[in-house]
Amino acid sequence: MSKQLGFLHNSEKCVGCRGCEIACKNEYQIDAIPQWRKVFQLHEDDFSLPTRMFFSMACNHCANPECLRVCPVKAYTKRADGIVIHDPNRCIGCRLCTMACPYDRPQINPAKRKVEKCNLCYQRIDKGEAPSCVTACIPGALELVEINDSLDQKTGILKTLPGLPSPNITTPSIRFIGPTQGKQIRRD
Amino acid sequence: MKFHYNICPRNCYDTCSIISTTRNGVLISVEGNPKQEYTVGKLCPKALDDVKKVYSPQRIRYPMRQRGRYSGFWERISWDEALDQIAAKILNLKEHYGTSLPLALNKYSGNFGVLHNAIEGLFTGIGATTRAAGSPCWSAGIDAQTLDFGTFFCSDPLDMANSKLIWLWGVNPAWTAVHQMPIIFDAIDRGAKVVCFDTHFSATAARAHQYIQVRPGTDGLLALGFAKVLLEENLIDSNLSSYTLGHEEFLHYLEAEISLDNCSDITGIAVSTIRELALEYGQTHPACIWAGFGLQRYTNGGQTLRAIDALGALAGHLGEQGGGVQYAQFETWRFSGAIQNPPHPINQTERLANINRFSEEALNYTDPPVKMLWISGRNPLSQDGNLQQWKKLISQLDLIVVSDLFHTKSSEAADLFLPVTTHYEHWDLNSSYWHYWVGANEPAILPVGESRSDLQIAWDVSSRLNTLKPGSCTFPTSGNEKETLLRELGPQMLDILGLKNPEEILNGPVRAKFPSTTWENRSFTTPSGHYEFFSSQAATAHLPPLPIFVPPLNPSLDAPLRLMTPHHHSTINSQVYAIEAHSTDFILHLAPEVAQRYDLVVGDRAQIWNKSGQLEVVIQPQSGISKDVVIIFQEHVKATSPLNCLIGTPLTDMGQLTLGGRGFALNETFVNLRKL
Amino acid sequence: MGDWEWPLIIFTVFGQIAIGIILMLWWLNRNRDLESNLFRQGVYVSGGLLIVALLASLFHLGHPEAAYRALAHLGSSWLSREILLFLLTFLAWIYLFWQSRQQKSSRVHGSVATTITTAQTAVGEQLIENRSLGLGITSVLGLLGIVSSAMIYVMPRVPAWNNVGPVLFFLLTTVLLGALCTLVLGRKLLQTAQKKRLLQASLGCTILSLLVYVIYASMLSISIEGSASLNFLLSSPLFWVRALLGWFAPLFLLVSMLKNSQVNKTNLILTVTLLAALGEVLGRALFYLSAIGIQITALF
Repeated sequence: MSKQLGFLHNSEKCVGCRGCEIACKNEYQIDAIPQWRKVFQLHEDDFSLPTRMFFSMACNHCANPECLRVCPVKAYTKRADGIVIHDPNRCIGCRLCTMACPYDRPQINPAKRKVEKCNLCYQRIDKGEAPSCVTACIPGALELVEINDSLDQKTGILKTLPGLPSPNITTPSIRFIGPTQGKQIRRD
Repeated sequence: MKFHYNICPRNCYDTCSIISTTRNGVLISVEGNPKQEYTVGKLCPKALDDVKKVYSPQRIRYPMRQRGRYSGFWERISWDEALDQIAAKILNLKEHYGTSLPLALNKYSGNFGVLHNAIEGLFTGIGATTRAAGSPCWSAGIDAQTLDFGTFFCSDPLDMANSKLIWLWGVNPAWTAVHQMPIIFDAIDRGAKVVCFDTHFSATAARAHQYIQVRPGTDGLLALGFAKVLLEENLIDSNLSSYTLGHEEFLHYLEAEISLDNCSDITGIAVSTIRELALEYGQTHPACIWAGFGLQRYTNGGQTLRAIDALGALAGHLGEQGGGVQYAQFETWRFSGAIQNPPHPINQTERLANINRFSEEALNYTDPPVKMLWISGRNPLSQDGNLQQWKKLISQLDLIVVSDLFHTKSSEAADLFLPVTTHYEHWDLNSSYWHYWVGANEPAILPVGESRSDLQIAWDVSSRLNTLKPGSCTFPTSGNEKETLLRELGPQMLDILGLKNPEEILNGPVRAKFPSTTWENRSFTTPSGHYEFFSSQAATAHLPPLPIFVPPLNPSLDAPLRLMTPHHHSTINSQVYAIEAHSTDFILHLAPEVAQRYDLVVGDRAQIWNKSGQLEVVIQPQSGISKDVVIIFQEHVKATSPLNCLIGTPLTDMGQLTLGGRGFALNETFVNLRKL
Repeated sequence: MGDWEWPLIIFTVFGQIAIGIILMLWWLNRNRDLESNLFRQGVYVSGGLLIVALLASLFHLGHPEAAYRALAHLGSSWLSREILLFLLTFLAWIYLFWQSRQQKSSRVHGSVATTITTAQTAVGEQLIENRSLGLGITSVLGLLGIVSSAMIYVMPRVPAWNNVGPVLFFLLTTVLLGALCTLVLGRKLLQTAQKKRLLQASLGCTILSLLVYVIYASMLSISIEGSASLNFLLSSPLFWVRALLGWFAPLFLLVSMLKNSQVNKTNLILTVTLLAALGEVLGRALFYLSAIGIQITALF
């Protein structure tokens, strides 16, 4: 199996501050839309107790990227390390990838009329640095990891969270930790 | 590319050290300073958005004059025109009333940099004036800790990592002190247990091992209940007599007045839970309590803090490494104060109006009345209570000057808008009220537009005053920002920072040379030198000498729901960061049961009201909120009616002693609800 | 929830009508007896529709000037394949167009001459043969193009599309509107029997379309997103307008035309064609509007 880089998100540590979102925007000077990275709050109904749990998601650099499959102009390429790169120079703005991605991560930039998405800061990775979202995360909830069997065999590593599309569609390169719920003592 | 040291000047626990990058004189990026051990190279989204804020198209770049208050017809004027108008008005009022008391200054924490005190210095230099005194924030807790310990002083926040049991009480660091979260996680990784007490299930509570929902305003009683268990279970520090005063009286009070059943009834926490938690707190060493500001925004806020302090003392957690009762500190703020103290007559006494009742008190002044108001680093029309009185005060004023970065609810009422610089455009000196780091803030870029620093504005006004009437203001008429900054580092501060000369501060932020744990040797700065369960200072101030339970205000039939307005992660009070999508609706979070009671479902429009005002809201049921509370987070909402229209001016029990004014009991706001 | 994808609606519906007409002409010419004028008109009209369709498709792109690049990913992108097949269809159509011009000039020539030589007859037969070949090639390429169009939408993310539905819908539109439009074009040139066959084809397509839709709708309810699509459809007034215009009204009219031997009534032909076309356009709009993808359902 070839190398596959991806994100490990620790929902027990993510406090939903959205620093990763802004760090991403700062790195690439992107406008309010599109949002390469976005923090979501998990739906309360998915848990037995009240929650205030979050996860942060950008492109998942899927093992089976639907964006890459449907793109008519070969704007998407998958590197040897698994990073799915979108080349805006090739993109003609047909938006097919935005329809095909279950995570809504390739998004049209209305000003440029082209699609954009997270390229996992490949230029930073090539220099040995971490992606800017990972660097910015204050509680240390976001990590760059190699997605492989040994990671998946560790206890507490989840492939999906409630509220996420089935990973069977695209085999996303993201893993999660938690959230576990503490004891809650409510009045009345 | 050039790099500069900056410090985030927001009113925030974290006060982060920033390294900014400029290219060709343009600010292009900001990042955390990795050498500052609390910031550790990371910034929160508010600070990360600074580049956009600095160059925001909405930023006001030129002095502006409004033709008719609230009209929105602003015209650009020159600094000369603005300064002329201000100076002429000041001299005119002084001459007409024979005193400078008609001049009022309302300034607080829009920018916590020390050089921003120049505006105070300017007013002192003009003569005796009317001032907003006290704080809308932490007053009651400060007084409480001052009564108990002699001053309020928290341990180095990094010390919390050593704790085995962390009680986060009325504090939501996930949203308001996010750099503390990795320290708490570090403690968890080392086996610490975290318990979070709050009125609602917060983002921090979600990260804790245990969440305890306390009835708002009854935290003090809960602390006394825990103390009672410690007493019953004989878990009281055996050395109390060596370093505390009045513990016998306090224990007697617990014995005679505190019953666990009653405590349980009032706080809403089962007796078994109270016992369990108290045992854990009494038996675990070190155990730390972080008491948040939210706890003390009640009419009994000071007593609550005193009760929590007493609990910590009783269990012997004071002075413990990784223990203690942490609130905040001001020990790293021992600046020389030269800037706000230009030469002035020794007997010059300012007229001090409580900042939390500023409009009411200012309106009460008749001899002479307040005629001119300068608002700096504040947005009272968005944050203060009793807006009707504010409207009245505004109509009485001849001139309202607002100095700010952006238009605000308050500038809507202003005559003049003076554009100020951000912390990337001026020199400054910053301390935190939480961690121990102090640093100089360097200008990274030239002022945007014609904006000027508060210090420059103060010099300019003084210069204009002295030109029009020599000797009319003793504040300097010009100067050098960097030198002014260095003068703030007097001998005491240099000693605290371990510096030989002030210039060394320019080499980067410095940690004050305090030991990491406060009160380690258990010698306190109270009159007795002991921790004071029994405080004669309190008695002198007509407060109960012992930490006792005083009930908070109760909801009434007219207004059965307590309205809480806690901070949102995207804002600091009315300061927002630009990227956030601005909603036009206030979101009312409430328990699903309450929504049901009022026949409301998610997305419904409803109205909340009380005798102060009314507000249209959109309903968002959320479990984790108790049935007597509704919550509107302080998000940025573009609505005609501001959130504070519902707020009166209830005051906390304490605050007078240290800050000269009692605090703002914001959490004692009650509303009624109806479907629209 | 999808959007009003006007460029795509026009591209797919017009393209399908164009290819449908060619297909019908091919079928009508199976005995090599297609009326020449009808052939010419059919080629012209289908060409016009095809050009409009191709132009409309450009407006779907953020950067129409770079549309040529869409041919770059034939390996896995159905959009690339669609574009290639439509371009080939268009090339084949140019051949048909050339054929129709040839036919015209040879006819002009023939009318002047008083006698028809054997050589001329041979040329004529060759022309008819070429015409048939041209129609056949264009139809096959066009149908493959339409299938590719449909396959674009067969994606696991969108349960409402991730089935045989798109292919069936697109092909049914092709035959239905192809038959009706050919009928309109040939309202004076076609024989009654041919008209009847075309009407029967249309009726068959309408019935099939309705049946397929019922099965499709019942399949949708299996997934959450599919149910959402279905709910959207059933609660949308547009859907009921589409059902009335595109299914029930044509059904009624076609049945009554065939039953009462009104196949030559031009007004009725025009009416049923218009209704069916409107129904298909609305149907296609709903196809895009009702596309609800599997997505993150956590709170924003």
